[in-house]
Amino acid sequence: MKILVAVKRVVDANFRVRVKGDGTGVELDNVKMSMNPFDEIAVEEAVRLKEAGTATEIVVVSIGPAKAEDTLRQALAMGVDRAILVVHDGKTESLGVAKTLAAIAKSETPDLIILGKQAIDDDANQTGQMLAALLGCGQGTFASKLVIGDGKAIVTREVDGGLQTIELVLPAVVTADLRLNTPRFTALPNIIKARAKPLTRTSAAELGVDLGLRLKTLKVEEPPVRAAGIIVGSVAELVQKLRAAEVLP
Amino acid sequence: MTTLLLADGEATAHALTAALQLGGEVHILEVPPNVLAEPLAHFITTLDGYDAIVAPATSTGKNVLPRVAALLDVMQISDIIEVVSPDTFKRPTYAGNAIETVQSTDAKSIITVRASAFPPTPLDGIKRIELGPSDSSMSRIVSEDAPKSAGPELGSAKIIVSGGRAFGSKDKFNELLVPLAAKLDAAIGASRAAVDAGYAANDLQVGQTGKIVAPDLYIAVGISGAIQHLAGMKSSKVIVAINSDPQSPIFAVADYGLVGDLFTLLPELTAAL
Amino acid sequence: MTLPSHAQMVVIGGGIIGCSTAYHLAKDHKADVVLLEQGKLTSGSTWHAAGLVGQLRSSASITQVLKRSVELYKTLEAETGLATGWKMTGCLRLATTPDRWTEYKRLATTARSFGMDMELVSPDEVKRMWPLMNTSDLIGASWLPTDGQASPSDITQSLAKGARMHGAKIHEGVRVTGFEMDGDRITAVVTTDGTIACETVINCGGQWAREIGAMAGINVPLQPVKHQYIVTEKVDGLSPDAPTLRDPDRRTYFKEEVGGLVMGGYEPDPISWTTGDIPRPFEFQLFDDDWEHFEQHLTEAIARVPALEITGVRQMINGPESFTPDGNFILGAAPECSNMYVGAGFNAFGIASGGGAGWALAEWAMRGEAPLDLWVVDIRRFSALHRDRDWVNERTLEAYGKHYTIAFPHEEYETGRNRIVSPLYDRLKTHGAVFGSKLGWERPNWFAPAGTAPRDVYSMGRQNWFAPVGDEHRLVREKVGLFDQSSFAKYEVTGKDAAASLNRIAANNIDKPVGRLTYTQMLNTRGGIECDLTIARLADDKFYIVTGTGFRTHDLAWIAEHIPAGADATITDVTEQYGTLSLMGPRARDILAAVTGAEMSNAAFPFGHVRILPIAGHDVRALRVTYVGELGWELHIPLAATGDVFDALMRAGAPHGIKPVGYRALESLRLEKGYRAWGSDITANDTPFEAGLGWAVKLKSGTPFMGRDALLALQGKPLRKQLATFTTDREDVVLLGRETILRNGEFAGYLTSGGFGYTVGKPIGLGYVRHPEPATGDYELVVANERAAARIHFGPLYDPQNLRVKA
Repeated sequence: MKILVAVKRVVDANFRVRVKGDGTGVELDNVKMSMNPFDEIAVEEAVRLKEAGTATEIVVVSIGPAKAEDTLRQALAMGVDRAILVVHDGKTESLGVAKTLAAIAKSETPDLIILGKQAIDDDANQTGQMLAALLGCGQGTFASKLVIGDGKAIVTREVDGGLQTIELVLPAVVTADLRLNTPRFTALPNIIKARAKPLTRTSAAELGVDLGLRLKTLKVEEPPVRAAGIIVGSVAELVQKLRAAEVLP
Repeated sequence: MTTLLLADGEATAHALTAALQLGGEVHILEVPPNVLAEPLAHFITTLDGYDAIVAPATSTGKNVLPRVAALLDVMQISDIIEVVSPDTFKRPTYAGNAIETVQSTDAKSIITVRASAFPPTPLDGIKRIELGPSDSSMSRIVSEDAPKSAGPELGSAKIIVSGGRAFGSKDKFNELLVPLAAKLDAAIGASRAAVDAGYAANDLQVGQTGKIVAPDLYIAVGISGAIQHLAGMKSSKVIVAINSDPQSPIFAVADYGLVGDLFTLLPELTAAL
Repeated sequence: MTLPSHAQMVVIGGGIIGCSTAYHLAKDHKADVVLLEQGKLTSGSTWHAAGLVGQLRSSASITQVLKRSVELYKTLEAETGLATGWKMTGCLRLATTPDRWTEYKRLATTARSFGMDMELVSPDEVKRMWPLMNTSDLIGASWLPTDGQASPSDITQSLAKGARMHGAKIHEGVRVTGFEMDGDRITAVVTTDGTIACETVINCGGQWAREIGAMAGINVPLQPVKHQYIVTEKVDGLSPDAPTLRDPDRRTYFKEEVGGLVMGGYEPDPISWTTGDIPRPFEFQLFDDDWEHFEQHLTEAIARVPALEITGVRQMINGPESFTPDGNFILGAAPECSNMYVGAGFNAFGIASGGGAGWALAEWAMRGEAPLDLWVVDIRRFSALHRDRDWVNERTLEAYGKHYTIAFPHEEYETGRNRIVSPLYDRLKTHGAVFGSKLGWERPNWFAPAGTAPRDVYSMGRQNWFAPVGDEHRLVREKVGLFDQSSFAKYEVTGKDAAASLNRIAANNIDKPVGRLTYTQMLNTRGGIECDLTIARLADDKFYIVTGTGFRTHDLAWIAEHIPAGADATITDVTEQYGTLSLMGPRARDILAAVTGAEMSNAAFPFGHVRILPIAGHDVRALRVTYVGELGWELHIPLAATGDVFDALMRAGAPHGIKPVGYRALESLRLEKGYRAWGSDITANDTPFEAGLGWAVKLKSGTPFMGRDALLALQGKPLRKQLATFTTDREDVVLLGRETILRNGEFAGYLTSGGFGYTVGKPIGLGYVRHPEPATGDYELVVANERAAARIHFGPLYDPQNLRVKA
């Protein structure tokens, strides 16, 4: 079985971004970038399937600037076999990304595609669903458990009411939620080896995909700032304040 | 202008408010339980005459609508918190640290709505669309595990009491939070750390990628306040933080902070109410 | 919390240095302190420091400062209730080559000299202390049991709390945007939250210190460099008390952290951050992981700790750290502004330094002078050259790259060279000059004879220049040599109060007739020697001062700031106006007489005098003075004429065998004469009495001068220490300074300089003996951890009666 995984280079999860003064976006100069945490889970799941003997090959794709090679190398260090970088500077949207991935999936013909459920920069939560639609295959979003067997994937999904387990016919798209697994920390030799693993570069144009934006960003602004709070000295004082604020039943 | 609104529980009334702000008529598509994304999305694409398709940003809405968007070659706008004009919306990005105003250039608008950002509108008198026959060979449901908690739903509760890893165990989490929630008729929430540690079910997770809530009162107990958690609750009207570490970032968003040991403070609070 | 409108002390920067300084100001001095932090405490670079705490440095005073950090980190929690994470794990430094092992033997000796116990241990012992380590390639290791590690953020928070407990006010989220100035004095600090009138500003702005300084006109030459380290998962079998590990031959370091390892390194090809302004805000911010660049350390680390083969990396930290062109931090009173102090540029040992550096800076700012000799870190060691950011960047990267290379004696930097050359550079080059660099100047260290490649070949023993320098030495003793000392710092002091002002600052009497020279020290209030220089009286109201190349900014600032207020005395730096040639040796008079029409007899031009001599058509200031112990003159020549005079002297000297001679010969010559070098033999820690320079102090005259009260209090009391000369008959021994002096087998001090005297044919060292009866007893020197029998001498080894100097 062959698995395709998609990863995105995003602002590091521990960093709180700031909006640019001119309202055109967020400040990304000198900011640490990392692999989108959900994508890390997706990569981990693929690697575990390979280690379990279920998968035979894993290919990772990223769409982004030349520096996204670092993100792909991280995936390679985790155990992915080869990487494809669709070099693209500037913003992307889920629809364009899904079309690009669909183009790659058509030539790579994976049995399973795993993505993170959401990128923590645009927080869109769309690409996996869109990709499944474009490929005309089933989707198992927000996966917290994945079992592969007999041309099928059993996916346990984290939904509002609890958990839902579905069965998908392969090929299918699965998007990883937080509790699908805990990604490994890569050991040093794997980081070194990853530098020698194959990485090919292509572009949306070569793939025949239009990455033009459908949404115009008119403005980016800071969220409203909460007024500073106070530290109360006791439970009694807290209750009294809450009563005064009329938020207690 | 006609808008199709995908119904999903209590969030539907909130999403209706946003849908009505687009102007024109709104039709509600009732979705019976246990319908999967593939047939549902396919059915929606067969409906003609809708200029906009809207769903609340529930797990169902988030699952289905992007599939619809891709089939219709539309770039979806996720999780809007304000309708600026029928094609222009505000939505949070970067865990709510940047609010984008975006304008769609597509022929149709496909949007999901953050329920907590819009007040509810009664559904009375809104035209209902029934889901037509649809089937899919791509997927099927194997099982559902929906533990029903006693209190109000997290998404619509007026008060939420939320616990973090500081509780140390599932037993302590329940022993201390359940009575407090009962007293306040509150829903129980949890930080990612508490869910990961198994103290609470996954559907109680409040945060950037879990439930996004904005109750009248949010009481965070033993939660340090990672960016990702704050993203899910910082729009709450009044925030109370109880934590032993005065340096915790949670205090930066709290209206009322109480520094101390939750194991003594929580019973005291429950008793005082 | 609103800002106060006034504060005695404003500390800028809430990293470990700023918080430590505020703590000491508030606690030790009860000062009224406000600390301003633009973001959050620690958010600049303190928060991502690795937290290794080593104490041994090549300066005794800095070692003392670092020891103070450790003392503070041990006790701070008891005072503030906030832990510092201090763990005395000890530190192992590994050696895999014989040269490295020699370096450690010398290091162990230095440690002993500075009162620390460093052991040299075998590979087996290393294995026992650090079982996870591969020791197969080790010769051994140095072991300093009192070193350790601490938690940078915790220490800083603890210091901040301590500062608050003693009344300091700490404001976060307040950025300094400028200063209100009155001349060179700051009257108020302008911030984003208002203006604070203040008496003193202490700039602990980390990588922003340069820009903060620039707003007050001062230069803080530091360069942020991207420093990377990784934090691993738990390593099975790693003890929480594992010593910190430095593996310089593999350019890496290790420290235990929550069961895993922190591993970082100092690569030869470091990457600097911007040479421009540092962006704001830059809070709790890191750069992208740069694995490609870090890979060189991975391979080395795995070879050392094989468990890393199977251990995952939790995190890579790639953050900016402030480094400096010479690897030492920047402390003290900025020369360009009368009330800004600086503590910045900590070269990734800010955590080790923080506690002590904050103490020193607080003392300095409160008392107006450094509490001990801090010359190696003194901000006044820089010059205008260091305002060139590209130069600073280039030299800093070289210093960073050499952090873990073997420190060979006499090693010179390779970058930023040929920056300032004397007019003689090309001429000297044709004579085979091998240049060194000092404060940007190219200076001839030695001259390679025909057949020898003109370059240094470094080694731990005698280096390739040893024999040629011996020939240069003998030429000066027996015939004559010509030194290009154009890099000397030179000032003129003019005005009707020039004599009175200088006489107040100088310890010796400089108020002598026109045409006389005075060798003098300048003292601080403790009687410690701050400057050591020559003052020539050119006219009633005009003095010419000559001092060492490296002391240019320091000595100028010391004199300028101590000229009494309102006095008509102005000091001007004229360094670049004069080239300097020192014509030294018994034939000097014959040669000088041949090129000038002036009368050159001993009676006409005695020692200690200055005359204007015409040479080659130029008026030359000739100072009859010497640093080599021979008849000779220092000739100060209008810069453009230096070549003409050099050519004239070389022509006239040809029959006498004249040759250009370099600084390494100078060093050998001066050691034989027991002439002291400021910064090593005599420092702010040493009084003229201790240094054997009591004769150069005008104590009897009754004229008041700086440091007089301190000397009066010491007069007649037994000396705590006394400078002496040491020799050993072991000709193979290489003395470099910092060797331990043993008297009857017990510690009695250490050498402040070391070298070889070619005339006496012995290694020579200068050093202070700390014993009430220094003249008695059997002396030994500990050199690279081995003892060598030695003899003590209290006068010059060569020409003690000064017959040759005054011939």
